[in-house]
Amino acid sequence: MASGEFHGVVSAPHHARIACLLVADFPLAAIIRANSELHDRPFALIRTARGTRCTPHSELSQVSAQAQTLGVRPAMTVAQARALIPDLAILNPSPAAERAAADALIDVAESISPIVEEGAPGCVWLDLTGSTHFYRPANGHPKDVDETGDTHEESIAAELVRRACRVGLEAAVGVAAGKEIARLAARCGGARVIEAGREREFLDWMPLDLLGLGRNARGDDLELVLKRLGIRRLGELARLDTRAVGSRLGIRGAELMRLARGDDSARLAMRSRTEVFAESLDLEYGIETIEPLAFVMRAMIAHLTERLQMRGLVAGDVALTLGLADRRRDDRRVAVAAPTLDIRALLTLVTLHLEAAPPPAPVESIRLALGARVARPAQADMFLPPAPAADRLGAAIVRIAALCGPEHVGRREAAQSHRPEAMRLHRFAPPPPTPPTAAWVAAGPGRATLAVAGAPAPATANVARIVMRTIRPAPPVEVMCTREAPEFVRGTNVCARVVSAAGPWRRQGEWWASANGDDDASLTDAAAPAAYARDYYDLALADGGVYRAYRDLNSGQWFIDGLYD
Amino acid sequence: MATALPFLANEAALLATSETIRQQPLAVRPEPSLKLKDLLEITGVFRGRELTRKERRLPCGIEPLDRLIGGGIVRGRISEIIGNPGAGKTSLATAFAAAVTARGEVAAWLDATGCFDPASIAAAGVDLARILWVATPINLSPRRPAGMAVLKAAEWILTAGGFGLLVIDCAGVDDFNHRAFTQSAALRLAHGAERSGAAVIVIAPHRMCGTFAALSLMLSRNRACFSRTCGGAPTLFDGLTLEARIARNKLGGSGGAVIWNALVEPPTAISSASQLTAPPASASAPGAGPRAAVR
Repeated sequence: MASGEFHGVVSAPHHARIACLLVADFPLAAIIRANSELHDRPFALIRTARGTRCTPHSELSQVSAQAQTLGVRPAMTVAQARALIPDLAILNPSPAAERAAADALIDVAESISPIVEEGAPGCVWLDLTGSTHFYRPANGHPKDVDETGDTHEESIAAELVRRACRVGLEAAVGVAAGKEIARLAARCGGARVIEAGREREFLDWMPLDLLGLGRNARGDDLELVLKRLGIRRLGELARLDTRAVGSRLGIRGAELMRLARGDDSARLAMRSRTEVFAESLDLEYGIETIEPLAFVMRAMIAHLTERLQMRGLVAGDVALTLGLADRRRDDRRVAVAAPTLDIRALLTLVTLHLEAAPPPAPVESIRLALGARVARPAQADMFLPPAPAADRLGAAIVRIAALCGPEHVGRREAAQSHRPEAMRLHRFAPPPPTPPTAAWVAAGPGRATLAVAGAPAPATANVARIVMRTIRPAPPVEVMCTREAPEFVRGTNVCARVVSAAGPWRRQGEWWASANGDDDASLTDAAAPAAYARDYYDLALADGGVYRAYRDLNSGQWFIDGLYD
Repeated sequence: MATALPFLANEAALLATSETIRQQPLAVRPEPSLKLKDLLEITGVFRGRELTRKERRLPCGIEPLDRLIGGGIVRGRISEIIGNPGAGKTSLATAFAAAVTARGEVAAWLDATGCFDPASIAAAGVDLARILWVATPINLSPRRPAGMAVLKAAEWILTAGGFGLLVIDCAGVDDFNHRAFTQSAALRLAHGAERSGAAVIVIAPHRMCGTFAALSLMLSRNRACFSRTCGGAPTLFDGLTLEARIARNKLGGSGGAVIWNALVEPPTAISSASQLTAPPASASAPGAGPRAAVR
């Protein structure tokens, strides 16, 4: 997104098409979005600072629709409201929830158009100029009407309403040639499109009380003044003389006249915005256990994944900030093995992280941010071997990581070290499948030999390479020797006579690491010392197994390293 | 579709035997020397149709063993490799994994035992970049025992699709030592394998999947081969001579057995265990067995 104010790129006003996405009673909508159980319950917000207690004399600032139905109105006291509805929920306004809802609304707008202006809380304008080209069906109708009979702008408006609903907001959309007319159209509710040239027709019946006129420079209530003059609709105002209205009502009156005549030339002012996919929530009471915390976070993750999905993105790492009751902040970062939009997997990862290190005090606020990643596009090829789809593979890896831990899934490889147990774990990203070559298929039904470019030399008819099953950490054993040759092995799971033995072969190294104190701990077992010096043996025991054993030259202790299987 | 791919127009020809197909001229052949049936098998064009066909098999490259089991293990089915420790189970599963990755496919290795040794597996020809390694920790919480974790991970991998092979290594895990998968678990695994078309190999000390396994190969060790070049030279471990016996085969006969060799350094031309006298000349790959003699 460009930084700074946006000028001159928006089309000329007479061609412009602007949509307004409006959420009525935005603070209430933000609270309902964060606490879905309030959707069908009467509640009200009070005018108190956060942290102050609700008293019977506290004044209600906003009232939900259910409460209004039962007679509760703003400016009532809590006592008056509770007299009407005894179980009325009284809440503090939540700036965090409002900010998250505003971001979600902007995401909805930006999923349709790149030119977006944020207005008052709960109001977003977006430029739809030329967007009908993108939404034109393949068999484009000359009158821009789709198969359902709606114009493309109506389809876009309906889509905006649907997308707002996906992020938990009930929004109305208006589409018109100007910002203010679009906002007035949105105030009518639903999805309303004012066709170009028919603005006057729409504005003529518009009641003045819908406009929220406020006061002019002299402090007069404009709506009251106009009502005294017998003017109740914009159409009546438009028929007056502009100079006369300007001289009586000032600049605000002149602006109102221009609007009433359909002259809405205000441009969109796009401002820079940091693209953060975060949801915040202030809790009424501190949460002490993981389970209710996970319940709250599930809704937050669901909203975030919806926002990411609308923008064509997937979720990367999770940043979790918990505000604690003792005024401390608990910052966490949860690694996600592969970008995903799987709510369950993300929630499990966060929950596992919290279970491993629970917050030291009750949680009073939550901020959850998902890192945005671009989804990897993939195109399957009919003549290539099948490969896992990137999104499904990512989802599977994330789920497995949630079950087994992120350190237990990926691409396992031997590290560049002579220490046999040195391994590294990489993110699993298989290379694209290679096209089959003619040499792949050998003659014969069994297709016994594989000759692929770059592959190791083919095995002969009945021979394969033996593989070792390692035992980590290597268990110590007792080995009885005769003239330094192993004769008997006794350990926890092994107790047998040595039938044949090969060795020893000495391996030693990494002494420099211990000397400098800069050993790479990830390469080695935590229990093992950095420097090693070992004599390795291959021991065929009477129990039928061939083991790889070694004697640590520093301690003289024997260990079983693995089993040839 | 048929216009774009003329060779798909005649499905009857595609379902005919390979000999019949070889005689017919092909409309689309990316590489002249490739057989159409092989091409379709590689690419999985007829994945849905081929799932239940016996011909859709995955060979391991050990010729007598492939011949014994009818050309390889069946894709979309469960195959068990069972036997005592040191019987060659992991080496055989690795041979199948090497075959899959050499074809450019992706495989998954569910390591319930923590015994996965990437060095020796890479030395056996497996392209580790195409292997998804998953370790299921044994010490999971009581609510989530190792068996459940293995099955869940296997299901998720099979659901993701696109994997050519899934190896479930549960040999040596206490959870699996004395009991098999439950019927419902084995059934779910079998259904997952069938839906995804992946060959599933279960490495276990005994039969785990019961009737839901299409093939059970029982391995045993015949002898371990040690040698020395001359008197006074250090003794070298050359490998194992192993026997594979079919304990159960739903798609063929049971009871057949073959002898094969698993060597530390497979020479280029050794056909029988009787020739295992000379030690390998070169040093082994890292991890496949230490070879720097000091004595």
